[in-house]
Amino acid sequence: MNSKKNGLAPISALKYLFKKPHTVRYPKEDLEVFSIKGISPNYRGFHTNDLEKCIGCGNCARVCPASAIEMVEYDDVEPANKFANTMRPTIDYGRCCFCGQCVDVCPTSSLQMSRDFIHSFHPDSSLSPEEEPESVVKDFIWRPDQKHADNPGYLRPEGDLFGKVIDFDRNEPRKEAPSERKLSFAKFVHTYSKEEAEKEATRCLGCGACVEACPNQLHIPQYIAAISKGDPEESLAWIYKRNPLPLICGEVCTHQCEEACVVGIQGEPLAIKWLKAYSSENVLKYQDVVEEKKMEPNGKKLVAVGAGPASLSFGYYAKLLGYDVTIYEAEDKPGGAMMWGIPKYRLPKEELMKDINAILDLGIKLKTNVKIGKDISFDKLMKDYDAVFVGTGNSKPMTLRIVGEDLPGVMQGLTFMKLVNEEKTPELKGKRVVVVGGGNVAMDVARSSVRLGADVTVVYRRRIVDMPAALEEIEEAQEEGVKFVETGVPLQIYGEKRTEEFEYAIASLVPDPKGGRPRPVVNDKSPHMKIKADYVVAAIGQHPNLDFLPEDMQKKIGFDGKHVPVDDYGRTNIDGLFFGGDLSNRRQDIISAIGAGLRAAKGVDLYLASQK
Amino acid sequence: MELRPLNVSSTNKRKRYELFIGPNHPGISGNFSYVLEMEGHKVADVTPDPGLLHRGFEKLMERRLWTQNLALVPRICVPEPDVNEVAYCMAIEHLAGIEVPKHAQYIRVMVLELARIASFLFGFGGVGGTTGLYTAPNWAIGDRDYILDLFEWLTGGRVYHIYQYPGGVKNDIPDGWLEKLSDLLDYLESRLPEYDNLIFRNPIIRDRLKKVGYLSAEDAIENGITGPNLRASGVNWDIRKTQPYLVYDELDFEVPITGNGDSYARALQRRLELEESIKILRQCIDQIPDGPYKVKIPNPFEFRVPAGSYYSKVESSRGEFGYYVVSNGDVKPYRVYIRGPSYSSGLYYAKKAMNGMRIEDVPVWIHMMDICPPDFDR
Amino acid sequence: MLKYVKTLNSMGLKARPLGDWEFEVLTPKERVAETLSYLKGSGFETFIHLMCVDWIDDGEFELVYNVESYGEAIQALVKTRIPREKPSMMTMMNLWGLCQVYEREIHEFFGIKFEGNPNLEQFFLENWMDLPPLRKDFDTKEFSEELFGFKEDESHGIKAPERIEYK
Repeated sequence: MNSKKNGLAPISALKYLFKKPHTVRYPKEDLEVFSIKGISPNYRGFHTNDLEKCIGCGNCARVCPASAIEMVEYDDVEPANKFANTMRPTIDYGRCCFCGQCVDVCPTSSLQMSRDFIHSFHPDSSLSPEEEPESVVKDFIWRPDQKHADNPGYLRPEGDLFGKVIDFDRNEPRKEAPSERKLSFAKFVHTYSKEEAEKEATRCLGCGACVEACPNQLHIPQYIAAISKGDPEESLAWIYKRNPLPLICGEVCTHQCEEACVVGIQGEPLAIKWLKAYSSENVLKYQDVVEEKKMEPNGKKLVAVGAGPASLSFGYYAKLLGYDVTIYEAEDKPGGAMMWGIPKYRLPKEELMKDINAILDLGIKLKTNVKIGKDISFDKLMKDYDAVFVGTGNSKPMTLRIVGEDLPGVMQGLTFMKLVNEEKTPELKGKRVVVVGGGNVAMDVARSSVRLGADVTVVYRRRIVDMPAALEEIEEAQEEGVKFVETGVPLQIYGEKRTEEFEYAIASLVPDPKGGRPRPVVNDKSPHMKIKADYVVAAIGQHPNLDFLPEDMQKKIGFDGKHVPVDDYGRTNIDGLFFGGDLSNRRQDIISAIGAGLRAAKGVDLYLASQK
Repeated sequence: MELRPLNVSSTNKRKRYELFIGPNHPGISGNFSYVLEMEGHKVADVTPDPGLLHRGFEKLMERRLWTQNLALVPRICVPEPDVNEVAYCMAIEHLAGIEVPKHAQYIRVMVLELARIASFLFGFGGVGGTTGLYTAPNWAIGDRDYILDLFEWLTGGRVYHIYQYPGGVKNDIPDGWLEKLSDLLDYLESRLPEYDNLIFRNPIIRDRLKKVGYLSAEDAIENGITGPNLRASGVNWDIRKTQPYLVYDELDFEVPITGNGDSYARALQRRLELEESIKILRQCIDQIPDGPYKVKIPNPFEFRVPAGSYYSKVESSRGEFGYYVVSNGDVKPYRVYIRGPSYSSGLYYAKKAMNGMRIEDVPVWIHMMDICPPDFDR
Repeated sequence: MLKYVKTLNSMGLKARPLGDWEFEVLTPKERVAETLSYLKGSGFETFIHLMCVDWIDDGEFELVYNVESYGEAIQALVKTRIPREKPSMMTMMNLWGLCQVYEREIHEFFGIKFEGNPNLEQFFLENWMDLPPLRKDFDTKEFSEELFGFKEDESHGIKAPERIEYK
């Protein structure tokens, strides 16, 4: 540089007097430096929020470093999906620092920022000085709906998963290859290692959208956060607050929570189920870490019928409340459908017993091989105990109602699964098995048969996408070599002495005008197909069996052959009689049954308190 | 602080009186002031008065998530906010063992150097504010605005960019930005001779700046003076060279040493370093490799930094800017200490340096030491 | 750098390198002056900062002195722990006059008394009567709620899920 002293040098600046000024005369002129006219294309100005896309998860409000965002109830929005709520963010521009962290964390990309940033406040001169602060406050708290949507600025569009601060990629647990796992009944999903579990747990945003979706509202964000802290024991303590069968749910839960997970809207949802399995598998003795305190025994006696998940949960929480609980079970082992219905490759029996024993160790009396109605009359139970809980579930299988159903070789799904679990199935190696149905039981039957060496075809009357079974079950069954026949309606089973051939019709699907699943219709033109079948297993659902109840009682509680109507606390029309589990739940799965048991324990407590 | 009544005793030949300099003074940035005890037109004693500047950043950060703090840290230093973001992120990355992609490191260097240029423009352009040559700050602020335009394009914000993120930066460089940057560098370079003519060759400015606030190399080291001020005293020390961070070791640049130790040397030092920054930016434009602009870290709610402590430092336009970050493995920092470069000069050395100084030299000294009170009263 | 680490270790202090250009020294409170004067004599002439961490669970304050050698481009962190009860420390002003302002700040924000420092008056805070604010047991939220009579809604309007509890 030239830094020689020169008195004339500064004078040269005078030439700028005659040059065009650099100032931009806004609003007559605007900046022209960017790729578009005006301010920067990704300017962080006022927010816009697509209210139809927003699901009200509140992550923006929680991440805001200035606490500028508050969720408020909106009455003019439609929830975007069945898990969304009608809470929407409002932004206090007196606090907002326009950092854009809310946009980065938005799991639906509904919240964005615009290029608008000019706002002027016109005070209402008619207001009294006392009212003025109120009107100023109103002016600065904004509801960011579509006001500035035509001028988008800083945003994270749906395709920009990398730019967001959420990790969208799920870490699946290691699984055995299909060719390996179909050889035996060994569990083929490896529980997470510590590193895998912590990595998966750190994907959780902690918003709790899953909690609303869970039939039993577990403390999901809390137990996942405990895992990411590296503390499976604290995690289990959170799970145990509402779920005394953690390992079972970790392995086989229907995980509605994962459908609601906000990370799953644009990416893959968290593996909440496998995380639960991780913490319960890594705690040796549950009762060492559980913080729930047992209350003093209060001398009242309760009984539960059927040792399934509903009764076990009922027994556990009633025991904590100080009641003396007895559970009657008709079979020789507890567990109900979990013991007899779920194959070992999904839930090893020792894992099942770990959970059940932890509950029974609390001092709950379990009486196996006792059939209510036969060994003890139900009236006697009602008389001898302060309250009765019935959690017998669905045990009466539905039948196909077609010709040939009484041939040997035709079985019901649950009966077949019981044989599988008792290892008493007939030799299936090289045999052809046809499974009718598309639920989880059908998948269990099909995959168990594959493991026993059979050639399996699943016939379902709708499409695969309509199947009620979990998607991963269907995919894994396909990987293991199960064949699927869509829109197949069973017609007849042929055979001399035993099953030989199975005939079905290919139905056409008629859309349901109510928006439900399409209805299969068979008419004269439907093609008929026949396949060879050594065994036909009908897994098309079950009904409850309440034969042990006196008939007048069945009538009084409103049993319609399928359901027993109950209130939130499992109460029926008869005082002191409570129902729970598949008998009365809308969803027929383990976690719903556990929830019903917990609520019934509270219901019994309320009932007995009111009796005093 | 209460003002003592003026000492109007007529027996004193020279009147002793108190004089506030700041908080509203072109030589002082931030709500800070010095209370000068004057003896005639000479300073007899100096008391720094922080006023109501303290905002408790360090405490606030302990209550917020690691990444939430990124909206907070740039506010510690207005003229050059990016050093805060980068130093804070570098400390987190060191503790968490995160490797930042090369592409992102180049972007960081570009952001830092642009911010340095903007801050230098404030620095030597602002000299007009303290000496009455108002053309200089007008030019400097105007030219700084062109840099802010580029920041706005890159980050979405003009002054507080909130652009750094542990693991990289928040956005990639937009299309056409590098070309615009290249144009800007050409423009800035064409402006340098004009600044030279206006400021550095200007006899009045030279007389006002030369021999004001002489600082020897020994005194500078003893009093913890860092950055351009240290180099203006003749000590060859630049963290970018001696303990290189980011990709500074891949870039070819000189560290000018003026060495006279007076205010003019300090102004000149900044002017020369600005030229080097332009050189660095040119190399970045040519050398920047392709690649991802960040690595993904866990989401803000579950981002835990492993327990430990680390002091990360960045050579800012006024010296060593350091973040001492302590983590106990939680989702929030356990303690963050911020070492602002003005701390030693503004609070401690000011008392020594200003003693006996003439009143008209005080703003010149304050400004040319580039004392930015927000970085020590955080 | 290794030679300093070695010498410091031979002095009975715990020193270890942290990176390419920095090392830390753990010293007991009484030997801080000795360590720092050794370092200053060995070329660590610049005092970068003094900071404090409140380890409330251990009942201790940790003081970190950061000094730098421009000649060799090495930075040394001298760390010491002092009890949290009636904390006091000797001043390092005789080594670096600069310590005066750093010690004043720590006294203000942590309440550590520096013996020998002539001016430990309040500086940044005005008329502060409460606990020293950077101590971990000082709750900013409680303080501001009390001072301004305002309750911050920490739920941000997000409703807690509805649950039927068994108790």
